[in-house]
Amino acid sequence: MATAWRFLDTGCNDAAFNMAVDEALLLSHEAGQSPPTLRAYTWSSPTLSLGYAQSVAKEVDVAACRQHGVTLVRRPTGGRAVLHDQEATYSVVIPLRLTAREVSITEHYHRIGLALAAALRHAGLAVRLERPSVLTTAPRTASPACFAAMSRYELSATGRKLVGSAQKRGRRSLLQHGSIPLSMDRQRLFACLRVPADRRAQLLREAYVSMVAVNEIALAPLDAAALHRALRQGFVDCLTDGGELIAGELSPAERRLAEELQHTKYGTDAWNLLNPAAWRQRQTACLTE
Amino acid sequence: MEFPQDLRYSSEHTWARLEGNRVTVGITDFAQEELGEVLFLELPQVGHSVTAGQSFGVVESVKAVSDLFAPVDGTVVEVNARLDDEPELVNREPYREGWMIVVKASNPEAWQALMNADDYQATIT
Repeated sequence: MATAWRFLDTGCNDAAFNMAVDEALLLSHEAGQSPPTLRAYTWSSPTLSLGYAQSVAKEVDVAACRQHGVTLVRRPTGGRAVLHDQEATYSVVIPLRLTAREVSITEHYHRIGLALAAALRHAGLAVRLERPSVLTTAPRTASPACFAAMSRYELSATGRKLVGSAQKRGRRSLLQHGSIPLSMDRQRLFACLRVPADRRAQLLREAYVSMVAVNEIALAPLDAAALHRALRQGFVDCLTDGGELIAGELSPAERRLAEELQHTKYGTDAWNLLNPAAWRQRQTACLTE
Repeated sequence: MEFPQDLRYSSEHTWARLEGNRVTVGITDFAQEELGEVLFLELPQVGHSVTAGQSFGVVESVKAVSDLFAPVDGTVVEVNARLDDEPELVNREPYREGWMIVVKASNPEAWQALMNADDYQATIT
């Protein structure tokens, strides 16, 4: 009998809570305490999320973020900067293995990509699931912005990247989350990033060519709720192997874990503005005091 | 793809080389190929305790962030500092220059219980 999945809509929250819930779901699934879950969420204020190892000092203009009313948060997943504002965000937590077989990283992106493509087509969008551009090495002139790079079976529309996703893998569980922008403020995104002055105009021009948002191409405007409904349908079609996608809530244990992560990790300057190693050292120092 | 015969392997795709009571640890050729270009490693400090089957660090590649899992219990006595500036060594030389940590094993006999090269290879093919 196929496993029942959970559909979780945690609504509109701040950056720290959003990232904390994603990590809490991954940890709970690792511990065998949560079912495979598709989560839908949105952001209460504009947020620049950074990849796990991305350097704030080198790549982010913190003063400009403040000036533009943009919150900073570091993701548990890798990749580059994403500006979250008007968008439908998804996350999925699933087993690394299907039956006895371990599924490769690329295959997971492919499987989830098929579900995302089905979802966006349900929403009336003409999308394409791009094969990875053999991107096994990082391009030398990489933009600090995520959406400027196409890889990992990502989704495009009108030849431009529509959905950016990233993975964190544990011992038996996988978290993949991604951003489906409804609109895109490219000017604000690049205002918040440290890019060489002589490259800023070019990167911004490229951003109009390489990145697209839903309501720049949809025949009629869509909102996050419509996309989240479509995501649920797409995942049932493609990913749950016949299992149901049952609407649920965070369990009390998941909520407690998420709140702890929100306060001790994703809400801290050590995690967001410094780096994971500095955050861990401070955690260790706190425990030994 | 390489599976050196003198090493032992874990189901989390780390390898272990035993020398006395010291165990050198890294990720396998299969793992580095899966990950693609390694961009960043977060490794523990010397003196840190590791527990078999639990995370001792993190690797970020072009494709994903992944926890690194210790194959044995013990205390970290050496960390490969070259990986700070040359994380690509993990891809180029996963069993040699790309080693990650050396652990003083609290129970060196546990190394024997890990998979040999043939058994590990069977799990991934």
